[in-house]
Amino acid sequence: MIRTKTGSEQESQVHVQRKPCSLNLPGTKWENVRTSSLSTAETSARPLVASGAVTDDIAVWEQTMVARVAAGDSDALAAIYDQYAPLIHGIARRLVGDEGASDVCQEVFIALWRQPDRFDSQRGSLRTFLATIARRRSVDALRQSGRREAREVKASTMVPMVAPNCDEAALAEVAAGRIRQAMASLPDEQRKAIELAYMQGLTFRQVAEVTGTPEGTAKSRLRLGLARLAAAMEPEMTVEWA
Amino acid sequence: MTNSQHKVAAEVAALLAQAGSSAPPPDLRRRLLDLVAVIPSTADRLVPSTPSEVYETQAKAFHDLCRSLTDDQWGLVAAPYDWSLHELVSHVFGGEVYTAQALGLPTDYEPLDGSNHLTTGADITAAHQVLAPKETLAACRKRVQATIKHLPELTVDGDNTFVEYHGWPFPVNALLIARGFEFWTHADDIRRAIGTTVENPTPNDLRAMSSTSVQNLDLVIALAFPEAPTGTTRIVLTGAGGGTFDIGPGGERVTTAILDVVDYCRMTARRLEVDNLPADINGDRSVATALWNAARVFAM
Repeated sequence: MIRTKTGSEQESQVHVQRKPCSLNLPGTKWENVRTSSLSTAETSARPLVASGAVTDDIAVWEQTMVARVAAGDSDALAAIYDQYAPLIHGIARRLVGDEGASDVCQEVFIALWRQPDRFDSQRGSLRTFLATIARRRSVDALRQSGRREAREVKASTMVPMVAPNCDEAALAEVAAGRIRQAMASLPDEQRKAIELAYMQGLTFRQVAEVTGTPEGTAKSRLRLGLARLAAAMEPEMTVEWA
Repeated sequence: MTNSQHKVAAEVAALLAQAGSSAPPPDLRRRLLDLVAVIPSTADRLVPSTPSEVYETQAKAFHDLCRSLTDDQWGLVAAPYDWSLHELVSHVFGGEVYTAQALGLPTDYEPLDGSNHLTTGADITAAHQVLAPKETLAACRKRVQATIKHLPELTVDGDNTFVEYHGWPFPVNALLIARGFEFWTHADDIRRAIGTTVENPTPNDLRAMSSTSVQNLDLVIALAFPEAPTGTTRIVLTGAGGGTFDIGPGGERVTTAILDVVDYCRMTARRLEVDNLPADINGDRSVATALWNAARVFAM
């Protein structure tokens, strides 16, 4: 009989004593490693526990665990989580604060589950790899939060624009349609720059990198694009205010 | 590394140095594992080759390899059965005739005795030793192509259509994958004999082979090793084409076995001994040993 593996199989945990690692891994408590457990107390991290030779080789452990994650072994993900979650949560907490840290932390390990092949042990440790994802996800979270706040601020300042008897949803839909039309009328390079900067949240420098242009050119395209966009939207605004 | 990548690397290094640890909420681990239970892993997202694809691809690879052999090489001896390469190809040809008969396809031969895999088609093997090796190869290829023509209708309900094969009830799809496995195994026998490196099938073919093998272990143990120790076991086959399989009666897991998918396949083909199998086994080793013995039942 084949059974579908379930997350609940990794629910119980056990603490396993390990020798201190000879490698210097700041932020990681190797002496007392919590690992996922089986009922037999056999763990995903057993190679580290049982073999002194492997204990000293974190890189081997990381490669083995990531290979198991790629094979779909959630025990291995649990072992990696137990090893690095405090560090990743700490990074997320520093960048996004208490409120969003858990989400970022979870996203980091989900990202590893989805695309373990992105980890290349030749380029660095798993610890650094996960920290890099944590940084990126934190920045994304901050941008989303910033955009949300900006939208909220903008919405509050636009309240007078809404006609008293106008259906808000319909109005929003009309406005969105106008924006789409106006965007479509822009030259490709200006539309692309606006999409990258205002829809994907990239900085001017990142827009320049993505489009392969000097930063000044990217800024210029954005400025021209926004001016055209405003001009294209103006008649609609006039109607709204009429 | 670009300037931007340098900047990110520096930021990450600073974060690692300064951020410190912070205990995540206690329930985050559970939530994470509940989530990944429903998110397909890399292995799960790999589309396995169809049984027909495995059979056709591996048969063609075998044929192409044999076609490249020089006249001198046909006399080389291949492990593990000490057959000449000509005898080996004759054996594969006999196996193809037997397979066609098992599938109900017409052949030019009287029904073969399938009670022993190694001796099935022995008469064909003997008869072909007086022919040129390339004639045997051509006959084998012709037989394979005749079988391939019938694959569309044979595989319509190939998981549920059983045929008798060497005394076992075999789903047609599993049989085709087993034959693909045999072509690969014997191709590697030839490569070893002529001194070239062995080759792995595509991850898609490997996934089809490994999952078919693992998923039949329970049945094989029940039929062939009823006294063997059993228990819920997780088999983790690492590498492209592998996967994670929970097998057994359910309940408390007693064993976890982690090994490379190609090593697993070579072990099942008896080209790698159980004692030499580089597997990491946690828990009841006797259960794992029983599984490996079951996996080798169909070794060709």
